Amino acid sequence: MKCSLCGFEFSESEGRSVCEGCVLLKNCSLIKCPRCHFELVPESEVTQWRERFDFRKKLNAFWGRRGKRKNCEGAVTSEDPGMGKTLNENKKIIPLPDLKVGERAEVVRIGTRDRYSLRKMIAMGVFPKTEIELVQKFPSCVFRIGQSQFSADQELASLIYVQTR
Amino acid sequence: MTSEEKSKTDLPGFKKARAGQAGKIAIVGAPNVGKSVLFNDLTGSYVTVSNYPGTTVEILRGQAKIGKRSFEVIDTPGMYSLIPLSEEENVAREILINEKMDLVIHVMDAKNLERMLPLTFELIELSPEVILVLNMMDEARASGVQIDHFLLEEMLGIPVVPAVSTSGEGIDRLREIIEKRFSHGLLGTAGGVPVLRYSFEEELRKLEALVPNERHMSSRCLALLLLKGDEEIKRRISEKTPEAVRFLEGALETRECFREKNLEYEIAGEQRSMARCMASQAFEITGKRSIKSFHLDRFLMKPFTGIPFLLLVLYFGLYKFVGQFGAGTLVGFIEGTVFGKFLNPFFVSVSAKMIPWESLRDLLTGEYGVITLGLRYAVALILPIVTLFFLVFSVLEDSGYLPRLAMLLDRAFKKIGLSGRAVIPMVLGLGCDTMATMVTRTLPTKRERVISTILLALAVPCSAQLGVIFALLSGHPAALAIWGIVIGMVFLVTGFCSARLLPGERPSFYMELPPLRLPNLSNLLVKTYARVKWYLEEVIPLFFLASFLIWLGQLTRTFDLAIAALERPVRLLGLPSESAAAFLFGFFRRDYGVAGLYDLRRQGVLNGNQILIACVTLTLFLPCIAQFLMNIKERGWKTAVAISGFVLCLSFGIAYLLNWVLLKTGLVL
Repeated sequence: MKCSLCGFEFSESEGRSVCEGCVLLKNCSLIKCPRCHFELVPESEVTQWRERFDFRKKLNAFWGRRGKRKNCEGAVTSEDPGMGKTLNENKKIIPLPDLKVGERAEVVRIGTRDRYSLRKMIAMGVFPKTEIELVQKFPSCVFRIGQSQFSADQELASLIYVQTR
Repeated sequence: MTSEEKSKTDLPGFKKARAGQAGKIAIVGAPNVGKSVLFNDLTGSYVTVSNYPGTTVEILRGQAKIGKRSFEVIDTPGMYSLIPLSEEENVAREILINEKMDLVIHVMDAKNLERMLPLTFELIELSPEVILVLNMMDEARASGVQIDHFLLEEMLGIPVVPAVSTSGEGIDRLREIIEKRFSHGLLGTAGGVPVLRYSFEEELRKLEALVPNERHMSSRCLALLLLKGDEEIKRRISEKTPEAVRFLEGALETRECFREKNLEYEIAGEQRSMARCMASQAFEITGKRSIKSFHLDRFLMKPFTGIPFLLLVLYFGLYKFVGQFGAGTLVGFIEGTVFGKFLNPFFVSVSAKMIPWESLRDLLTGEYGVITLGLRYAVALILPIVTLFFLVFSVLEDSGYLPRLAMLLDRAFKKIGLSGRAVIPMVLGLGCDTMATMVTRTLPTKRERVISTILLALAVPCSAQLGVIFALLSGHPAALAIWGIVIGMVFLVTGFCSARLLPGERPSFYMELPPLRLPNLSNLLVKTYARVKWYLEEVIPLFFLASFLIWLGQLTRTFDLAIAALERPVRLLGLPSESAAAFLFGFFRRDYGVAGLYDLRRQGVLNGNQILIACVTLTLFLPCIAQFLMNIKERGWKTAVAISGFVLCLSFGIAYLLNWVLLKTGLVL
């Protein structure tokens, strides 16, 4: 979904992770933008269903992404300089699988409160400020922390939010 | 005596050695850091494989003689922290928490000092009798790592030993330290060991005061585990001191809800930053990682090159080495020459001379005799195949290839409801399904464990079966191909359906990829030996039991009745009625059944189609009794019986279908 205030695009789980710690967490239908903390009303289920079956849009998105891959780096942050103050021009916070292969980044936060996922992060030593290097994306994510290498599936790896340097 | 050792013995808090009592030493550490090699170094060849009561993950206990004392050394399964992620890790934790250890040896990979130090902190909190072994110093040196272990010793307050367990470097010093500890007295609690301070020290202190010391665990350690959300400790404490649990819940609420944090992760993060601080002082890295292993690693992990390599491994390792060399050449020699020409005639003639009763003679050396059938199958047919398989498996395991395989196949395994981790029990299942069912304990969720148990029972043939099937079908390549396709399809379809039908969460996968290593020969042999020994202990009694039951059945005529009852379904599959006996044997062990087919084939009773159908049925057929018992032990009565019933129906159903297809298409193999 897209924030109607700052235009930042994010997934719903990402938005939910910002709400963690809020007393109203369970019975609240609003979703916060992870960037500007603006509270959005989520799309209705009907719209979501329509979007899920909108194959033309999906196809366009697919070809569009393939075509523009080279020049879309940093597009999100450079669009609006107002928000860039906190994030710095070249730095952006993205899930680990969105890094390029061979790129290094610093872990910023883990996008979940699920105890079991967090235990896996502890076992792998994924903590904020740790340097992480993406080694491979397919078929599973492989990354290097310090001297050791780990493999994790897409779901787990995309919970790791990193900041490129 | 070096200065730092002197300072150890000068420390206050020494107690008198408890004379005459054998000490207990536990070896603890993350997976793949060389705990087992160190265990072998310390204990020599006196290895016993034992099961931990209740859960039965394999843990090794051995005797070590250090100085003049003998010790019981315990090798635990790998663990990352005291809070377990799988049943296997839980066993390691249970040993530490429930058994009083006189000494804990924490083995770590020296290269990963920073990542592995948090476990040292936890172990020190648990009991200060810890020795830290910085293992794999050779690898660390090769990648340009320098560690000031004297400084580390000073900071941690425990002895630190740099070692290379594969070559024995540092082991003498370790022995020396252990000997000194026990001869000069044990280091008492809080000797020179620094107590770590956390940001939530206040809560920790309060909780510590509420929690009583339990057995040999300090209240601080208990309090820390409680704050981390350890359910088992919480349950234990809530029985004794409910006010501690109330306080804990209050503390967790304020900490976690209002500060948006998970305390367990926070604590781990703080321990990690302390580790980072220590590592920054004592650990220095100068070199670069080696290019050669880097390229090999990439080669194995990229799907384009990794999958062809996997096929090569399967072809050479399994088909050529285990199948053709093991099941063909070796079995032919031992069965045909050793047993056929020498042992069997010898036993038959001896029993004919010595034993006057015919029924007893039949029991020992008759057609289904304990020696002529039970021992022959176990030693001549099964032993060579299984030994070779376990050798190949140990090579794969020790070289670090299995985790890479798990990573490669994770996506495909997700489709059948399993994660890449399940690759290891599946590959092991090609060796022995019973052992593999036990290893499913390393899988994190119950759902994965049930799915993999079903698949192991149904569609993963064990090496003994594989060997005999390869030998049976080697003359018919088309039949072998059809067999492979049918079994593969059954594996995939069953997995796919059970993934849809069984409730539970989707599995998630993570695994450490240890560096590739050249396996150490003696370690390989020790491992293979331990596994083969376990296997034989499990299997030979069953073979004897089967022989005995068949003898009993023949004596009382129930055997003939059972065969007569089985003849109908067997003929329904288009098989001659003689093969009913093979199916009955198949219940005791599937390979026993296949071996029975082997005999029938040599007598020329079966044609190509019939061999194929018999092989498919017996591959899918009920697991052997040992696996059935293991299923009950691991999954409980209901699940085990349900799985067996399902497998029985499906195996006959599929064989019937295959027979029908073969008849309709008129295919003759």
